[in-house]
Amino acid sequence: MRILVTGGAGYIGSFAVKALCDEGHSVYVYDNLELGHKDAIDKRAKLTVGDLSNINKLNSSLKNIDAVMHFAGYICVGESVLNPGKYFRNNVLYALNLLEAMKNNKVRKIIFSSSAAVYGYPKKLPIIESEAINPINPYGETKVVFEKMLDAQRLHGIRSISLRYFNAAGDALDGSIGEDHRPETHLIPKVLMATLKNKPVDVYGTDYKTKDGTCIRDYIHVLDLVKAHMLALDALDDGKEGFYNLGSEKGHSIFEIIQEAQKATGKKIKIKKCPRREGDPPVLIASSKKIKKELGWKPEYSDIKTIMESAWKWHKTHPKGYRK
Amino acid sequence: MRILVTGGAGFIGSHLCERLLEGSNEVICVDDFNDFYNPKIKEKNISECKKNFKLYKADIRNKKNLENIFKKEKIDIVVHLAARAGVRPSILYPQLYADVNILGTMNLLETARRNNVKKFVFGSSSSVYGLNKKVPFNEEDSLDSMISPYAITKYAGERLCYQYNKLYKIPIVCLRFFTVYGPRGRPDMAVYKFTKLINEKKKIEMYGDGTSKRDYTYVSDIVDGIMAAINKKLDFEIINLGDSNPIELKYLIKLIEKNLGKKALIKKADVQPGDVPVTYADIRKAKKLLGYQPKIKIEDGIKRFVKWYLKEAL
Repeated sequence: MRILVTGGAGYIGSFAVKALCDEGHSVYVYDNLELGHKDAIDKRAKLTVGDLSNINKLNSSLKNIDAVMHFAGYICVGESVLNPGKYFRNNVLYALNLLEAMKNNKVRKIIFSSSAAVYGYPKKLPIIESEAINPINPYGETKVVFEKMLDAQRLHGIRSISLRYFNAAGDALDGSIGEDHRPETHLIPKVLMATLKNKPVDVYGTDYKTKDGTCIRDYIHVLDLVKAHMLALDALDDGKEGFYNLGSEKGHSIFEIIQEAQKATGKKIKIKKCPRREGDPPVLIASSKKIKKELGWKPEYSDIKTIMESAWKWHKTHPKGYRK
Repeated sequence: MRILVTGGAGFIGSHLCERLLEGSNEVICVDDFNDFYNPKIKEKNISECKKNFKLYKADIRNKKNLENIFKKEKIDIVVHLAARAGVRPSILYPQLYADVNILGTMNLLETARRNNVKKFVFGSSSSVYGLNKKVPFNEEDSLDSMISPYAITKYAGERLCYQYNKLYKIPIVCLRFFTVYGPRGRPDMAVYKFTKLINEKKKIEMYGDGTSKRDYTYVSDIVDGIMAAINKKLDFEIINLGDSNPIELKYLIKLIEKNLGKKALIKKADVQPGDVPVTYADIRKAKKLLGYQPKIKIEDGIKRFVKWYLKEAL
């Protein structure tokens, strides 16, 4: 198939591009390179440097495309609270251009990167898809609204699968591509980068009612996440649509992650206790039963050891990420 | 109080402006007089608003416009009614609807909070309930069946309001209007369209078999609800404003025929994409929080509308 990947120069996008190329698809990356990295894009894929605000460029980029994987979007929760307008503008309004261009070009399939942030503070754990949608920050709101927009596209024959990611983590097993966010807000890279610089790691909140007082999250290896996209692509062809949680179904506290990082790096990691951040639920763990049952997905790399070792391999060999 | 009404020259907006001016308020009306329907209609809508009334012809998509207006006028309260309306055209022009209804709302919320407004009232829509089966529609119902870009833009607007309330503590009331009708009603809406065509002895297209139902709500009742939302102390609320009495399309046509004294020539047509089979408001929350009580029954409302149409419509 001919597949357009928005945000294909980003963390998860670049892994999806590689997997799609490996499966023999023709892959077209659409990325404005504001936060993405040219070097993260598989050489077999073709890059168009473009912004979601550019409907004309989207229109021409979607000619003869069979399916879209939509990864482009701003992802920082904290920033979304300070600047909700930026998030709604980019993740909702501009993203609507993509749907318009799909409609104009009769592209009927799209897979969307949604987020566990749509649930806010869940009432029940593990979180199942019927949990109330109640985001607690503008980032989560934009994901909710775009999911709804996708729903409404059925009017135009466009079918979609939204994957609600829990915490994406880990890097290529061979250390070739990996995570490089600027600023980095994700725990595992932050821990490993701090370790490389011999600096303490900030731990936000050590007084939660969890086993060791720190927040518990569900980490899923980016390779498993991408695998789910491949299955979703097939599922759309089989007439399936809708939304699926995507997590490992296991929770790890921040202290456990730091301990695992110590094991992988062989270094002692110092911590700095900081107050809780607003909008951090104590525990988020997915139930991925639905995607397992309906799409046959099964995590292979999402044990914390594999996640940490792959991440360490990447960060150790790329202390400055994609920067030369 | 100094109240900014966006879309103030439109159907609901102009009725609200008049009501506000009956009290000791100053009204700042923002409207772009776009060509969705004849802008002359809007000029006529506000032709009686003079004293304590200031008009800005401005597009809410342009944030600069709003900043200038807020700078000049000291605004206490915002009632945000400006929007691209109508389910069917939203399917043809989703980007335009998103720009005006989402970006525009974002611009207003942003400008409002920077200027410390005391209350923000947002005109939302019953269309967010989409194809929900359970009636009457309750504010707590899940919104999983929206079927038009218009509905989504209103939903996005509500979510933006919610976030701005949480982040900046501005009291915000989102009012979900149910099929508002009455004098100055938009020419693209069923009540107006049918009245015009039946009166001119032209064929009317009836989508579906005539059993689809709408919770037609008379404009003065809606204005009662908006006034209460302005005046009551509330933090963040989403509240239905409807008549809570769904009417079959067939019956609506009958009422119009009766008031015009003319028979409709009905041509049946397919149900339109984006159309829902029923809207029906649960108004217990509006009663409780706003003291809202719809007063004008459909029979009376259509009578008043037809009378206005024959005498005053352009």
